[in-house]
Amino acid sequence: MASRPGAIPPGGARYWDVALFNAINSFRSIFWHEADMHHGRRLMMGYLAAGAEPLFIVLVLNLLFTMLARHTPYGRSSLLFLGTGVYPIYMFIHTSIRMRSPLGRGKYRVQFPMERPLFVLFSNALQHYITYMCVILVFFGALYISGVDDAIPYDPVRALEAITGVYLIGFGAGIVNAIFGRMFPVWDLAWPAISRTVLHFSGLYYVAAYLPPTTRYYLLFNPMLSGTNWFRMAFYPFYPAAHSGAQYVIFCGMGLVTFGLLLEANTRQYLEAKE
Amino acid sequence: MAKDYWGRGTGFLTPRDPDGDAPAAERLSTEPTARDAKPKRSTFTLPRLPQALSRQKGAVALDELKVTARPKADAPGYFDARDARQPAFPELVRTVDFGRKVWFAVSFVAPLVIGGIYLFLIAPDEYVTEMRFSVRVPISAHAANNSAGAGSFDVVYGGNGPPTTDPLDNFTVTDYISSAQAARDLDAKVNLRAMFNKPSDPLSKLGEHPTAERLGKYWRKMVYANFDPATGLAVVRVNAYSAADSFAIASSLLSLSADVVNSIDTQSQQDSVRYAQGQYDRAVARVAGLRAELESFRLKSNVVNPERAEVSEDLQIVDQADHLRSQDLAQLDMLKKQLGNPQAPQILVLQKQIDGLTKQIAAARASGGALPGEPRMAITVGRFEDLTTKLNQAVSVQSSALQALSEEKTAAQAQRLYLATYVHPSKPEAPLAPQRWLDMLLILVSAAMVWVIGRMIGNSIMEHD
Repeated sequence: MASRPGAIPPGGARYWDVALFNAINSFRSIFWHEADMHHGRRLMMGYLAAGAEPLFIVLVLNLLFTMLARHTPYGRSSLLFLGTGVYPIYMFIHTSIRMRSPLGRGKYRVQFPMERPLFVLFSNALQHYITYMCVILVFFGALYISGVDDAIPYDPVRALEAITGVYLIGFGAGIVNAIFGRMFPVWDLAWPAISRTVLHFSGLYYVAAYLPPTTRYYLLFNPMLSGTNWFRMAFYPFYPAAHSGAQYVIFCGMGLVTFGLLLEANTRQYLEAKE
Repeated sequence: MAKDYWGRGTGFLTPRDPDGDAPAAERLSTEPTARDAKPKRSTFTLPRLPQALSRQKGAVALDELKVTARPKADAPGYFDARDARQPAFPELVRTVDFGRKVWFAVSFVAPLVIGGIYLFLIAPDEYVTEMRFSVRVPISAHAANNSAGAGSFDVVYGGNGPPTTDPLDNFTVTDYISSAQAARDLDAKVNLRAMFNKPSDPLSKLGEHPTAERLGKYWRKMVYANFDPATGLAVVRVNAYSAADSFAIASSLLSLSADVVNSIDTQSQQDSVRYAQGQYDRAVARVAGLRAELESFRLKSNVVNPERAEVSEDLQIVDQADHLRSQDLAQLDMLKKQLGNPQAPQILVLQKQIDGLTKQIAAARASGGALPGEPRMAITVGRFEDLTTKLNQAVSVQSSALQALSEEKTAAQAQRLYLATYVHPSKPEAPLAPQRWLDMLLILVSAAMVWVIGRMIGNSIMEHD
């Protein structure tokens, strides 16, 4: 056992405390470095840009509903109903797209050996999670201030759990995407388009429970629909979402993360050699 | 003695003495040792490569390699590595390997073993009773509610339209079923606490002396109630630790649900009747008040009805008397001027006639009439008309209120809602939960995922030493 962190162990043995100490330092430096690169001084509008697209979608859909003289199928506020659908879905879309960055093509060439790929990935993931949570807080806070009392969740813990569950799916999908993108470059172009179709299959502007049973049965295979329902249940105490389960969201998320990490570990040398 | 680059014994190529003095082969032949009695197949570990080499990417950690060899003591060049007096490595701590083993045991093996023991040896069987129903509105009520339009199914249902579900009341019933209130009601009816305390498994049982909150939380775990707005149907599943209990709970729950529907129905009907009764009572009181006011006015004005014929005749008499008196007064004035004697017999007769007419008019006025053109008569007639109009309106309102009350009472006698149970609870014959193999599979997959993710993170951390 090493007497102090960082000491060279006799005989070149491997010490977990030294490793952990170095790993934390490495993670911390990677986190702040990445934060500086993506959302800091070098990209002034970075944080704002993270929330601009979902906000735009919410406003456009709300305008569309107003022009068609229609009201959203649940709740008193159309903005709240659309917001509770758009933000979890965009949490998934943006996470699955942005997680490609830390594992990107040739990324290892510009990193120090100490910056292990998994740590770069986790620091990016944490950073993205924090950013997006701020974006969500700003949107629902603004909605509350503007007079929509229901914008404060009925069950805040459930809201946090739901958004984290959705984030887990996005994180796992992001790792898989990163590897697929390096193996098949066309995937990098296809995925942003594919991911946005999730908007239409995840209950953004409809309530899944009101759909015909057969349609609903197939749509519920999409874990994002369960994620959206889960998030809405935090805002609407009687939201009809008995058909979808939080466990399914977590299970899919964990499965994707596991598959992604295994894929990354097993293709690392191959991809680096290929590139 | 042959030594390698780092000054350690190379081991397996050159036989050597443990002390470095005599050849090993020679010692083997003269000094039988304990190892000669050991099994022929033995295992020994290859010497380590230096750390710098073993850390190269793709290098195999030689300290982990195990080589199996069949020792041949008489073979030339035979060497047993245990004879080598290599420098000891007391500071060598295989923390990584140990950690990996611990992580594997904790994250993968332990959940599987614990889960398997619990599921197959401890977890009690659960019997599931299912029932399906819908809160319906009868045909007649539906027809009354939707008299404006006829649907496509109206022909099938005799022009009344199909009986429909009431989504709000369906939601109410399913929400009630999964509520703590339902648990309390059931507990009072079938002793839910005793039923849920039957298993010996402390993780499954409700627990001794549970609070109402604990009972409600536990109940939500044991019941599933859902209303499907798309089909208008509700499904309820009740779990219990015996088939009889499951059936008893489900049957009681169905009865309680019907009570809830009836109470919703009764309450709304009672509200409607109460409201109609209130309207009618107010109308009756208004009519009575106006009638009393009119009676009082009649007594005060001595006029029964100013529009009636007798009153008109009285008024005509007064009018004629007044007219005659005017003529007499004019004649009296003329006679006084002509005769110049106020005591003339004609004047006295005329004066008496005028006095008589004046008394007659005064009497008529005192009896409630009024002289034509006097404002009092107009006021009397106006006031009378006002009271009469108000009374007529109040009577009309009273009549409407009476009709509404009658209709509400009739509606109250008919059932507006009813619980249509199309899948009745039936006593289960075999337990349906827990699904042990499926649960084991989920534990296996989940544990594997946790193990892999932890292992990946651990590897990344250990790459920083």
